[in-house]
Amino acid sequence: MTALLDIVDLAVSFPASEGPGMVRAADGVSLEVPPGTTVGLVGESGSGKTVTALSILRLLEPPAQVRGAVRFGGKNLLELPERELRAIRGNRIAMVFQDPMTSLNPVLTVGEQIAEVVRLHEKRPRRAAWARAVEMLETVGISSPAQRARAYPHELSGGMRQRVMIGMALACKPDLLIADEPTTALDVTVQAQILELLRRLRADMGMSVLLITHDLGVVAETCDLVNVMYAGRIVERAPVARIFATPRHPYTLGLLSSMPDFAGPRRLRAIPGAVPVPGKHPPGCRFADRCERVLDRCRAAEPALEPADGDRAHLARCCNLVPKEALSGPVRAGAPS
Amino acid sequence: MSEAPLLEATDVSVRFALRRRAFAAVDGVSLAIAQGETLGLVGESGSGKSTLGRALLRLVPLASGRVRFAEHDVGALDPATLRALRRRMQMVFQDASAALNPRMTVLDLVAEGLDIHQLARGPERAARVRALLAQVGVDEGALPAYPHELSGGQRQRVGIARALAVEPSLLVCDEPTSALDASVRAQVLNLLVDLREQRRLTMLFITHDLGVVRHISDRVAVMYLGRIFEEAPTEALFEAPRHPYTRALLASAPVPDPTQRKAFVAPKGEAASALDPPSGCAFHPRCPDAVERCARERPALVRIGARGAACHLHGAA
Ligand SMILES: Nc1ncnc2c1ncn2[C@@H]1O[C@H](COP(=O)(O)OP(=O)(O)OP(=O)(O)O)[C@@H](O)[C@H]1O
Ligand code: SF4
Ligand code: SF4
Ligand SMILES: [Mg+2]
Repeated sequence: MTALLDIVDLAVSFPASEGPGMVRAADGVSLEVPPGTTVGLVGESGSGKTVTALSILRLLEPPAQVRGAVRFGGKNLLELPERELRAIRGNRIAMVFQDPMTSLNPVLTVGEQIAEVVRLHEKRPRRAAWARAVEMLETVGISSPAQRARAYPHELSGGMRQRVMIGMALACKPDLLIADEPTTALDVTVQAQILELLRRLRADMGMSVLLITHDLGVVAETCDLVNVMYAGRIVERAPVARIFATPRHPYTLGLLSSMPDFAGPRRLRAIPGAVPVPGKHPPGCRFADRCERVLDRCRAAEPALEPADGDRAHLARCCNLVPKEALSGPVRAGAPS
Repeated sequence: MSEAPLLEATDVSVRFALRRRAFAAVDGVSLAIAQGETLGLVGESGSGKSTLGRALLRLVPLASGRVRFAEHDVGALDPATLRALRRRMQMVFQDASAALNPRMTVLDLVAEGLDIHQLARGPERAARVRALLAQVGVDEGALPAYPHELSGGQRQRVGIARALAVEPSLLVCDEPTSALDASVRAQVLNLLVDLREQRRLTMLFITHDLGVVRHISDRVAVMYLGRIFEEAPTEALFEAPRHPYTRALLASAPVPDPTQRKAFVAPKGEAASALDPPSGCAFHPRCPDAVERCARERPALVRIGARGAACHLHGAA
């Protein structure tokens, strides 16, 4: 099966905050999004998730530098003329951000904004575009959509604005939705509504989703495939069930064990130290300073992202893999049984 | 509980005005925390958790009701006594960088309480600060640093050291781990659990994170639009929630286990605004069980034994 989106060896650099030169916020990132699949990109703050996502549609401005290739529909988006890219942006690939206020226009009603997208991309007449906008608001679960279409963004709650954003993103039936922390700013009951909505729309429309999040609960609920990022690198990739049942990279295991294990022991197995800022990671394996499995050779050379014990569906960037039975018992759920 | 609770709030309300309209951010809340106990306070944004926490320390004025801390009527204290009492009631905030003066060094930030209450000076002062930093796991090298030179986790630890410097008996923690990364959040939670045991601290732990609250609390109170909807020992609440809102909240939490994937049964809509709360039970527009009476009549929080719920249908069982 060929991938819908294929990111190859992506590197994103910014000028260093101190001194001359550039630092890499994402480094050698390769990942695929197969058709009809939800792929998760998970990691802590500053690991490079957002810069990776923004690079796909060339939304990073200079002095940021982006290298590598982003293949979509037989083309490298990083080399496409701006005009051709615009035809893909918002049409075949749509993006939803954490804070919808930054991407909604405050002086237009939400109906006008969605209708505008429809008119641009489907060349529909005004009337039909408005009708489609109202229909999208209904699809994303906004009650009284015909009235709400006439509301301005500030007249809606955070959850409704996020729905509007998703409605706008989906109005053109994209093949790929990139969602960067789409529920992080929302209350948990509203988050549940949005995640359910994304799942339903994906099933109905057959689109793919690249979901960026720091929340392992959200990953478990929505993703098929998971990429774990640390300090600009993908350090582990596997189908979602394996990430949770048999994490092979010590960082992934650390993340899972540091979740408040609701009923479990009072002490969490925290990862010592903190995520390094770009350019300040140790030589060799970037996780070495915080890793409980570190060996001398970890610091000598950085391990490659490779099949773990020959398993081609499960990749890890580690020369001392976590044994398969490491996770003591399943991570417990927060919901009542 | 044989001893009287360390902290007791009775029918506390806090009112604010927005666009010249008064509204109750906290509306008739009663709660008690025993010596050495950790009460978790959960709720979604705008439910009034932080305001309640601040009202208990009289950092915002009470519109009505009483707060008793040890033998003191907190609402009635004169300024001097209140200042002295602040030593025993401290607060840790979500955003340590906003709570720490950016022009003060770590040394002075942690020592500030010692200075105000004249607890130590000179070499004794520095020694106390060093000991506190060691206890919260911040390297001594950070003493001359300014807040912006620290990581988020370090800043939060400095905020905790600062609160502990005056040896409080009550710590109100307002989302102390919400701004932290997963790996660092676990470190700070471990620290709080250790400190509580070493110092027999009494805590009110405010958070929207159900995992965190289940991990750290002995008992949990669930807030919605300024009122407590349910209160129960932690395990009882998570294993058998009674109030329809608590059930909805727990059912909405993503489960970190892909083999347990479920269809979310999220309640419809969003919390109404405290500016304009629904009539009767504030949850009735979203409640799957609502009956006609719910829109008319506000249910009282009925406490039976260790549990309580404010619901016409699920109040007593
Ligand atoms: N425009 C920019 N200029 C300089 N540095 C940047 C810029 N954008 C991002 N960075 C840096 O690149 C690194 C990766 O950032 P990125 O936003 O991709 O992280 P993230 O994984 O999305 O984190 P979060 O979970 O906090 O959203 C960070 O250290 C960030 O400070
Ligand atoms: S390569 Fe070594 S230091 Fe890096 S994660 Fe694996 S064991 Fe740890
Ligand atoms: S009082 Fe009525 S509306 Fe409120 S929670 Fe109970 S059943 Fe639902
Ligand atoms: Mg981000």
